[in-house]
Amino acid sequence: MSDKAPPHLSDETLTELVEGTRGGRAREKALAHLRSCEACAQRHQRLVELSRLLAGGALHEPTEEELAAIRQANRAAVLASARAAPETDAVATRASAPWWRPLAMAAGVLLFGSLAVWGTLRTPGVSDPDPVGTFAARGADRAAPGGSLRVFCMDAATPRVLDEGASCPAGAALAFAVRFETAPEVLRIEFTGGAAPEIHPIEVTLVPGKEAVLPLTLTLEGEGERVVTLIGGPAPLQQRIRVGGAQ
Amino acid sequence: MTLLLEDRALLEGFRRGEEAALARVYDAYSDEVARYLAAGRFLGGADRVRVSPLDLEAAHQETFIRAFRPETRRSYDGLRPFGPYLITIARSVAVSLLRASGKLSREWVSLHDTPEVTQLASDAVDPEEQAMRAEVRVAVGGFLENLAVGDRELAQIRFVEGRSQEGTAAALQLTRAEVRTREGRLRKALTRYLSASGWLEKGRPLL
Repeated sequence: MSDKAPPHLSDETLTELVEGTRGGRAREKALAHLRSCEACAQRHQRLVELSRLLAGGALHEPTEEELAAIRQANRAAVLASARAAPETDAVATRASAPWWRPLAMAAGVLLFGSLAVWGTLRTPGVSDPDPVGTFAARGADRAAPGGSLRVFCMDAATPRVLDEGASCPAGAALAFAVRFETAPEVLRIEFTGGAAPEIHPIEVTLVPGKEAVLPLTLTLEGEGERVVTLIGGPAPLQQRIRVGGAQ
Repeated sequence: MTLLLEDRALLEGFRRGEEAALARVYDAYSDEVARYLAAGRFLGGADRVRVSPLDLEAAHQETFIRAFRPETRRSYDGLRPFGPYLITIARSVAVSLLRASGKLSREWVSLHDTPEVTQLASDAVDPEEQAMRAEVRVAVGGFLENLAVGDRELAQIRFVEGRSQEGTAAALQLTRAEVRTREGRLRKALTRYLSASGWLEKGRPLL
């Protein structure tokens, strides 16, 4: 036999993993093997469940050893991630600012640009975008059963509502406006298609039937299709956008 | 747990992302998040969709990474307990994970949003757990038969009766360290026994 597959994990290794006594790189290596080997993963799962029952707990109740192992294994990574977060300050500033600030800034830029163009060129027949019309709450005229979602592209030059499949350049931010007939207290925006899926739970106070801007902006990176999913209403609301391109 | 409600200085440090504050919050809520993820009650009601033991650690880590992001920290109002806020994030992480693995449809709607169904919830021990307990009793019984008297006593008290290490040490007049060492050896022997008997391979499909 010329079986090139890596050998399965030994009983001893599996036991040490379950007990939490195998640490460091050896542990990471073993876990990596488990993710790619269904047979070993199944044996591991059986041993975990056995261990839980032998510890006097329920089948789906981690033992104290498991809890300690998870706590210890993730602690450094979680704190390092919080410490690193390169976009942290910018995101934090946006998140803590009043929800209307990015829209107001963008509308200001747009208004300034429009006036400049209008004042210097006065080209007949060219109609400038209407910033008030674009950014005013308007959920009622885009009614969907139970709720609606609008996604804004917040690039400095041309802030606008994104229709299904429309493009927004990398570096720009997305903003969101929602309306529900029955207002939920917690929403979440899922943003998928990028390097890693993002999930943003948002606590909101909404007035039923009235559109409101969510206190969240997301900076776009990379390129390609992304999917924005709003969860919290009677049914998920979804919109596809493209990152990259001019408009 | 009302950690961030009772300690306003900690709350401010948490919001500012101070490492000491984040570490305290992490230590305080780590076990609660892991238990929630393992329990698999994401659907509301009695139904469970489980995060596998292998994915548990990853889901736990992802929950805290998201919870400690600046926008999430600042979104916490400091007026309500932090635990439920964190559990909301854990639930999102779990649902994403389950969707990605095809265990949950993308059209899933939480039963938390349909209270009439949630009322049907039951906390009775599920049949799967009952079956597993019966299997374990038989398997451990077979294992005990082949042990020397001293080890059998320890295994009986620890694995069958489910006493703590302290309780086992007291019953056998051993130190806790001695119990821990002997138990470690017994667990490995048990794993070898179960492996040789084919018990480990008889598992259900992976979660």
